[in-house]
Amino acid sequence: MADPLVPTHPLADPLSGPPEEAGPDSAAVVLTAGPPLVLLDLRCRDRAALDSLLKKPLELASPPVARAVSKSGNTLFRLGPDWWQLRCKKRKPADRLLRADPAGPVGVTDISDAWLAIGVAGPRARDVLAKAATVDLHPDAFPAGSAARTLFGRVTVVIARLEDGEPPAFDVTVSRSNARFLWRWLADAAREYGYTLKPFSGGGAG
Amino acid sequence: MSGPQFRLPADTLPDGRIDREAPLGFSFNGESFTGYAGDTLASALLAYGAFPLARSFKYHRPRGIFGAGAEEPNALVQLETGGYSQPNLRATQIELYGGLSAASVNAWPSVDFDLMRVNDWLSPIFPSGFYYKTFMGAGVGAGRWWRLFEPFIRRAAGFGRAPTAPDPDRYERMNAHCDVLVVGAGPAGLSAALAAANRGGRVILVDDQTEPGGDLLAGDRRIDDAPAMDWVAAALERLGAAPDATVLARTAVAGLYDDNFATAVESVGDRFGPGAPDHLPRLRLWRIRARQIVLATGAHERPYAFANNDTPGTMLGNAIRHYAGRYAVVPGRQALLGTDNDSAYRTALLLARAGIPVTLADARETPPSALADAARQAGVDVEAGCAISAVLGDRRVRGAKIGRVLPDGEISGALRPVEADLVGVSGGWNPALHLASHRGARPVWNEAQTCFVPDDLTALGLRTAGAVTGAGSLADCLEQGYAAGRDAARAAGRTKRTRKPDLKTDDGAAGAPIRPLWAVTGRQPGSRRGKAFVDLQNDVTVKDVALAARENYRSVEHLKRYTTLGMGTDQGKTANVIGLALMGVETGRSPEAVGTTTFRPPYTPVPFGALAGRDRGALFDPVRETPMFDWHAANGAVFEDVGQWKRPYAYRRDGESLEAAIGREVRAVRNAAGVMDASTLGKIDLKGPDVVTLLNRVYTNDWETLKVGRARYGLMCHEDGMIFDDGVTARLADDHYVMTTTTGNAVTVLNWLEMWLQTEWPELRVFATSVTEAWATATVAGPEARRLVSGLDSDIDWSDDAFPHMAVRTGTVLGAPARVFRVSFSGEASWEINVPAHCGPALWQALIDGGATPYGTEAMHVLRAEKGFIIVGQETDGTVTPHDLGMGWAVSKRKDFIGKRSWSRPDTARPDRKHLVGLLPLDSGTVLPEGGQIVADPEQEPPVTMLGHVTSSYKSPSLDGSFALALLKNGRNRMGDTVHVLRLDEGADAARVVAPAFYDKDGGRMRG
Repeated sequence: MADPLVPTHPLADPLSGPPEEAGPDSAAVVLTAGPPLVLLDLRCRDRAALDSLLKKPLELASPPVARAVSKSGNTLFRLGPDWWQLRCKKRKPADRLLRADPAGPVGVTDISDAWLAIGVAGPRARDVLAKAATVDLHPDAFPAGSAARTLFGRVTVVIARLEDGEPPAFDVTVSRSNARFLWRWLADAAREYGYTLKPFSGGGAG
Repeated sequence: MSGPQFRLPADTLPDGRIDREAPLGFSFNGESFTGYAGDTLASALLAYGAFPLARSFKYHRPRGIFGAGAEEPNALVQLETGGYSQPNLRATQIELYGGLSAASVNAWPSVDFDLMRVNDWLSPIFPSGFYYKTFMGAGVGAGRWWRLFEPFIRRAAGFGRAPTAPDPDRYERMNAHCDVLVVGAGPAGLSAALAAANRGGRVILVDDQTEPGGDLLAGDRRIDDAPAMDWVAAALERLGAAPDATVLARTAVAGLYDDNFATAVESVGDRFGPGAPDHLPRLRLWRIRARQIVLATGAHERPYAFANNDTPGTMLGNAIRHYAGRYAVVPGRQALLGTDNDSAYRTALLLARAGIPVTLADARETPPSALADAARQAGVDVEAGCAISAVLGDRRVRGAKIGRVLPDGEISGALRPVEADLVGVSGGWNPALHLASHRGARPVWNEAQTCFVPDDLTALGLRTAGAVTGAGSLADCLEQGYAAGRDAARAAGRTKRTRKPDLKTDDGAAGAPIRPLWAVTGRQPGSRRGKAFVDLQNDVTVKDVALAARENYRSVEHLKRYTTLGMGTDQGKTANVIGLALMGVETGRSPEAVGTTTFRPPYTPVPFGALAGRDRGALFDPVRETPMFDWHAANGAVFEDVGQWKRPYAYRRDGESLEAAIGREVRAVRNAAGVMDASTLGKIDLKGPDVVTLLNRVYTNDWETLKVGRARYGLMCHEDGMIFDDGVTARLADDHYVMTTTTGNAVTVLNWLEMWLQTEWPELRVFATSVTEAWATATVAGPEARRLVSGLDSDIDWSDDAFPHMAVRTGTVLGAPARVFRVSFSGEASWEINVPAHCGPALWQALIDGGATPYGTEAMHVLRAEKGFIIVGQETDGTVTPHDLGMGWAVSKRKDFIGKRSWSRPDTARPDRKHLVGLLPLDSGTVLPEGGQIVADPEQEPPVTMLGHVTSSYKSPSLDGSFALALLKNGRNRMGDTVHVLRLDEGADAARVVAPAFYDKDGGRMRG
C-alpha cells in the first residue's frame, strides 16, 4: 500500500514528457516545479479586520490589488478587492488561521493542495510568458511585488514577481489539475530559446 | 533558361543589399536558377529576364513581375509543396533561401502554354458581369446553367492550391506592449522610432521588408553627404543601444484595432524554408498593445494605363529603380520610362549610371528644368509632353509607342515607335493608408498630390509621417517622422526633452507638380489585342470601367463589385485610384467626388497557421488531470473528455471489449463494491452566517431544516425557471457548508454565486471559495462497500446508525483529514471520501487493495440511469424545469427562489410539456440511439410530428436488456403507450413508455 504520508506531486521526478533540456541555450529559460504549498484563501470585506488577523502572527498587511507582500517567507497576494491568498512557509500559522470563526469577518479556507507554483526564470522567461499572458510583464509595468491573476491562454494562473532581480524571475501559480499541461506548454514554448526543467524532487512544506 | 544575364556586373553600381559571395540555388516551375543572399524570389528571377511567370486571372495572359513589394498584383506563386506549401505568395516578398522551390499558380497546363488563353481571344463576349448576366440572370434555366458551369469557371479562375497535407510547422504568438509602435522603417519611420526612443519610450519598430530602410534601400539617396544607408545603419545602432526599442524586420502589420491594438506577422523560420532549424517557429503572430502609433507606411507607386500594359517587362518605374539599386538587376537592355511626375527621374539616372539607354516620356509639357537637364546630361532622352500609348510584344516587351498626350489622356498626332525591352511607368503615388483605414480614418483627397491621404487620427493616438501623408521629399519624411515620434512619446507620458537632429538631404531643386494621367487612349495598335489594364490581378480594363459607368454602377462600391476592381490578394494597391479616377472621367466627377473604397484587415493575407499559433496538437486545449490520473493511465483506463478533465470512461482488461468492461464494472457495483474517481466534481466551501439564506435563494428546495452533519440534494434554476445545475450540499458546521456541483459547471456555479453576492445581495454575509482541487474524491459503492471502508485506517464510525444515508462526517482516513459524504448516485450504499489531493493516490490504492473494482463514467451513467437519476446537460438542455423531470419533490412551495416566477408563464405552466419518462424497447436487445427523435407514427408523411427525444440509452447488465430515458411530450400521461424512435439512418424502433426508474425503485439498497 502506498504511504499516504509521502505526498504526491504532479511535477515530481521522474516525469514523463518533454526532455529536461532542449533548444539552443539551456540556460535561456529555467522551469522549476515548486514544493507543495501551504496556501490559504482569504475573503474579507473589511481590510482592517484582515490586517489585524495577520499582523501578529505574520507581520503582514494587505497590499493593493494585483500586488503581493512577503515577510519571513510568508507571502500575501491580493487578487481582488475582497480576495487574498496567503502562502505560508510553514503549516503551523496556517492551521492557527484556519481556526477562525466561519461566521467572522474573514473567511479562511485551506486550498493548499489545489494549487502548485512553477518558477519561470532565465533571460527569456518574460518572452515565454508573453506568448500567452496578455499582462504587460515589462519591469516598468510589472515591478517586483506584482501579482496578476489572469488567463494564460485558457488556464487561470497567478503570475507574480516576488523578488527583485535581473533578469526578472516569475512565479506562476496554477491549479493542480492543470500543472502538467502548463509545464509541458511552457517547455514547448521555451524550445525556440532553450530550456532546463527542474521537476520536484522531494522535500515538502514544513 | 540561359544564365542570369540581367544581373549587373559587379562594378556597374554599388551592389546594394545582395551578397555575391553567397550564391543560392533554387527552382521555379521545375527549372534551376541561382540568386544571391539578399535577393527576393522576384529579383533573382528578374536577373534571368522579365519572362512570363504567371497567367492572368481571367484572360490567362502572360504576366511578369510588376512591382517590388506588397503591391505586386501579378507574381503570385505557390511556395514549396506538400504540407509546407503556401499558395498565392508574392514573389516580391519571398526572401530567397537555398533550395527554394516555387511554381506559378494560375496556368494550365503551364505558364508557357496556357489553354485558357482562349478566354483572351474570346474576350469580346466576356465583359464585366458576363457570368452573372449569362448564368444567373432571369432567363429560363439560367440557374441550372450556372450550377453546371460553376466548377469549371472557378477552376479556370483559380489562384493557388490549398496544401493537401497537415502543416508540419510550428507557429508562435507573442503579446507585446509599448509606448509607441512605429509601422514602417523607411526614413520617416526610423526617424520617428529614434525620436520616441530618445525620449525614453518603449518603442517597437515594425517593417515588412527583410531589413529596415524603406525607399533608402534603393541605395541612390544621400543623407549628410554620405550614402543614406549609412544613416540607416547608424539609426539601427542607436535603436539597438536604447534600453527598450525593438526592431522587427520581416514583420507585416496585418490589422489595427480599437485601443491601438495591432496584429503583425513575423517571418522567423519561414525565410529558411523547409530546412529551417527545428526549434524555430515558421511565423510569429505579434499582438501589440501600443499607447500611441506612428504610421510611416509609405506609398505605393501607381501606373497609368495604356494598351498591353500587362506585357512582361512592363513594371512600375520605382520598382525598376529598386531592382537596380538594391539587387543589381535591370531586366532589360533598353528602357522606356513614362511618367507624369518627378519620381521617374531618379530611376532614369540610376539606369543611365548602369549603362542602360533610357527614353523618358514625361507627360508634362514643361518638365522641371533641373531634373530634365540632369537627365539629359546623363544621356537620357527626355520627351516632354509625351506618354506611352502601347507596348508591343506578347510574351515580352519588344518595343513601345509614345505620342503627344492631351490633358484627357487622348493621344494627338502620330505615334512614335521606341525601341525598348523594359518599360517603366510612374503615374504618381498612393499613400498606404490601409492601416489608418482599419481605425476608421476617412481618406481625404489631396488635389496637389492627386492622391487620397488619411485624415487626422491624433485623437485616437494615431499619427502619420512620411509618404503616407503625401510627402514627397526625403527632408519632409525625416522631419515628419521626428515630429510624430516625439509627439507620440510625449502623449504616452515620456517627457524627456530631446534635440531635433539637423540632417542634410539630397532632395535638390524644387520639381514640378504632377500632371495626373490615368489612362492613355486613342489610336491603339493591334485593335482587339490592345487591352489597357487598370487592375492587373483581376483583369479589369479601362473599357470595363467605362462599361460599369454606362450600366450605372457609378458608386465606387458598385464599381468594385461589378468589375471586381480592387479585390484579390493585392486589394487593388496599384489599381484602385486609377479605376475610381477613370470612373470620374466617365461620369464627369472629380476623384474626390467619386470617393474611394476603404480597407479592412488584413493588409496582406495572413496564413491560417499564424492565426492558430500554438493551439494545436497535444497543446490545443488545456488538459486537467485528477490526482489519481497516473493510476488510471497505468491500469487500462480509456479516457473521456469532460470539459478539460480527462476522466476514466472504463478500465479495459487485457483482451476485453469496451462493452464487456462496462458490463463488468456495473455488475461489480451492483454485486460487490466499486470505486470511482469523483475528484472532478465541483466543490465550493460556503462560510458565513447567511449561507442558508443564499442556499434558499439559489436552490429550489428548502434549506432551513438541514442540520449539521447532514446533506441534501438540490436543483438550481436560472431566472427562466430552467434547470442549470444540481448537486448535494452538506452542512459541516453551523456557518460552514460545502456545495458540490456537476463537473462541467464547477466554475459556472461559483461565478453564479459570486454574481448574486456581489451585485444583487451584497448584504448577505457569505464567502464562497472553490475547493474543487484541494480534495481528491473516491466514491465507494456497492453491497460490499461498508465492509471495505470499515477496513480503512480511520476514526470514522461507518455503521448505518452512526453514518446514515445523506449524512456527512469529518475525521481522518489513512491519517489524513477527510470529509466523507454518504450519498448515492448509483443506487447502492455509497460513500464519497474526500482527502487532501496529494493523499488521493494512497486512498485509491488502499481501496483497490481492499478489493474494490474501479469503474468509469460510463458504468456510472448506466447505474444512475437505472435509478432514473438525471444528469444535467443530458436529461436537461436549458429548456427543462424540475416539474418536467417529475422532481416536484425538490421544489419548496414555502419560499421564493431564482426561477420560481417563470413557472407561472403559460408555457411553463401547461400540463402537456415534455416529461421525463423511461422507455423499454420492445426488442430488449436494441439500444435506442441517444438523441433519437420520438414519433407516434414512423410512416407519417413529412412533416412528421415530433414528440420528444431519447436523452440516455444503455444496455443494462442488471436488467438483462436495454432501456432509455427520454423527454416525451405529455409523457406522464402516456404510460404504457408504444412510441417509435427514429434511427439515425432509416427505420424506427418501437418502445414502451414506463416510469423513469428501473432498479430498486424504493431505494432500499442505498439506505441499507
